[in-house]
Amino acid sequence: MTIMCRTLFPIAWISAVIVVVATGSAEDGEERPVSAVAQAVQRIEELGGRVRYLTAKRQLLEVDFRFADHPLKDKHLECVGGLQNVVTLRLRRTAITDAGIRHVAKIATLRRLYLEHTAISDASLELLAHLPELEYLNLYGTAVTDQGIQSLARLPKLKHLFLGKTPVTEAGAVALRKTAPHINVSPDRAADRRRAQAFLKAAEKLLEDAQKQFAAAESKFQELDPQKEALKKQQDETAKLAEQAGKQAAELKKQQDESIKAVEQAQAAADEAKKQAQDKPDDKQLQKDTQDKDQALVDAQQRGDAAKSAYEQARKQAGAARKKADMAKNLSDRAKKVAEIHEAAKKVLAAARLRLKYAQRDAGTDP
Amino acid sequence: MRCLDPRLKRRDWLRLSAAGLLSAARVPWFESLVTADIQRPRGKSCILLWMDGGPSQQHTFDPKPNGEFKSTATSVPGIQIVEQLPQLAQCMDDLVIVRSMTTAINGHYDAKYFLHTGHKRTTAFEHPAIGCIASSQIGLPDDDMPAFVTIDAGFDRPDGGRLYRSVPAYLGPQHAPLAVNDPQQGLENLAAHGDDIDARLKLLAGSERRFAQRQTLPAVSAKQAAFDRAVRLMHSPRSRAFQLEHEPAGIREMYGEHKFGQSCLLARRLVESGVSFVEVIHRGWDDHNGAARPVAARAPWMDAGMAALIRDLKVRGLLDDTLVVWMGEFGRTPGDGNGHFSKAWSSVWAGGGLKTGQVIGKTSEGGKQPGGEIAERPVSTADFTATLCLALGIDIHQEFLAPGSRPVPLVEKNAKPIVEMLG
Repeated sequence: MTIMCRTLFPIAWISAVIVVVATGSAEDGEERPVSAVAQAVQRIEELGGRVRYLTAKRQLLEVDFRFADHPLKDKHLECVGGLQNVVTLRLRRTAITDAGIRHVAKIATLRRLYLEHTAISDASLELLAHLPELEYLNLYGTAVTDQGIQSLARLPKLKHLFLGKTPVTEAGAVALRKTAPHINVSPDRAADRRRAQAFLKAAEKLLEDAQKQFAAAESKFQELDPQKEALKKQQDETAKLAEQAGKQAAELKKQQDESIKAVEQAQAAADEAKKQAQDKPDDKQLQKDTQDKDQALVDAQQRGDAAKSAYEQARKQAGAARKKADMAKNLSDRAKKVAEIHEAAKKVLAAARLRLKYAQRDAGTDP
Repeated sequence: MRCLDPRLKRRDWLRLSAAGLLSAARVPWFESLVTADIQRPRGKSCILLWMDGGPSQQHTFDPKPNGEFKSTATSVPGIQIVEQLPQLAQCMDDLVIVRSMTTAINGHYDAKYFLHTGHKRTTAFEHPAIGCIASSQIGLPDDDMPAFVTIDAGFDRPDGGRLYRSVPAYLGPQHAPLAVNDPQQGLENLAAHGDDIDARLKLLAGSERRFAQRQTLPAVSAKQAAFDRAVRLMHSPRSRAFQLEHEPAGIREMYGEHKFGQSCLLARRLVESGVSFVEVIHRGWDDHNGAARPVAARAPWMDAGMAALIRDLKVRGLLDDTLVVWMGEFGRTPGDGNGHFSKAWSSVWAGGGLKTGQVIGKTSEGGKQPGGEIAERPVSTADFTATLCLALGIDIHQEFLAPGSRPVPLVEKNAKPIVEMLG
């Protein structure tokens, strides 16, 4: 499968070349042998260049010398002329000079020309000004000047012109735009200044917002943070008290339950004694037993009531302690959260300051 | 075709074709593009800015009237993004915001896998990642530079699920990414220790050759190919692209001191030197305690890094040839951005010869939860992947063979690419 993927590309441009040859001969009415195109491609590849297909429908080619291993000389550019329908030519960082541009200027189909970081000068621009289809011209990092670029006004279709890192001044670019308003010149200093001003305004506003938010977070933090320790301590103490009260209540509940059980037992014993006494009304001993058991029941009931009220009281106390502990925890958590928000607001503020620094640098107003 | 010798050189292919042997060969992308009528420029590169963990769309590129962040006007009338990104707002004419991503998976790792490969995870085999696909389809074969590089731009917080690592799977190990762990350090171990490196390599090559002759396994040749490529990169003057110290101080400052900005700068240098796909990964966008504060703190460096990248590419005349994509594995719940949200979120595209300065799709405005639904033009993962491939000039109608001779389409067959943004 990998093989297929790797091989698709060459087949693609081979087909392309064949199509180009076919259409070329149809239009010119002259026979162009396949080998001429093949030779041109071979020569370009030997020089470290690459030929690519741009659009399937229109059969357009790109020749790319950007990554040629050995230095590309002016005379080498002749081989590009062996291909038809070359619309893109990439010569970035190659060793070509004005002499090589003579060959490039003959490629009438050229739409995009990349000449960044080459040794070409104004003399090249005079030659290139005759390319009827040129839409894109990249002169970034070359030695072209204000005077030289004025000849580019003659290019009817030029839309994008790149003049960064050249001796061209803002006035030179403005002059060109005046004679040829269809050309977008980059860099556009006026647009850059507008952009920088908008950025600066936004950065100042965002810093103001961040400062306000930070101030709000700060005042809450100042209010709650000093109490943080105390609140934490209070939280721990109330929690401990609540736990103790809870334990006590649980203990009393146990006692209450036991006393209820005792009452039940006493009740059962009293009932049993009463029944026996009724069966044998003459038995004095049984009568006395009944009286004793009744008395024991009354005692147990009294104890049970006492245990019940003790538990009730402890339960109420434990509830109150729990409530108090919850409140303390809440307050303590809020203090912690305020610290978190304060920390986040500090980060946002630092970020807003950084933004303003960038904006001031962009606008050229940094202190 | 598969039976042909893999070592056949392009030169030989040309000879074969001149002899008429291959002139009848069918070329899938050739045909599909004729019918699709989409210009297919070759030699494009891609910089993927991956915000790992899932950035909140309402705190970045899809603000809502009553949202936590206010919106601001951009350089394109009628389009608004959050005011926390003022530099990107000024770049809007070079951006396309896709506000209607709807991608079905809400779990970190499965979503990362889905958005990187265009396929749901299965237990049977792995799918190749988009960077590896780009390497195999548009990378320069036999080049000094790797076709696919990943750059780790650090993290804000260590959560956000397991990190997805791009794998080439059945495309072959030569399409695996080269990983840069720190943009400031560049590529580690690039320079050889000692001046006898060539002698040592020659000695090694001798014994390797004997081994390779006896063990004619694909793994052996793959390992040898990877090793050769590393040596080649070490010897290439183009490897300077990995070193940020060759960049002027003013440019380095423009991208911001943050690791993300420096990663963006490194990505630009790599693309300039012929790398086809760079993925910059910044981790820590999984904001479960509210997205407002953390995103507000991240915004300035993200804004600076991404805007500087776009402007720098533009002023160098490279933006048409370079596609920049900003995204995560999903968005976050409308409102506070606390949860994962794959139903309606945003990705941002720049350059690449796209029709920029527009917004694709729309999320709901009213209702209980503004932004909770897609209102217009849903974009599925398959639609997204297909658009990305087409923007890079990759044919989407091809199939690969996964293990077990299982044909897998590059992009799901039901994909509807966003043709309205393709140039």
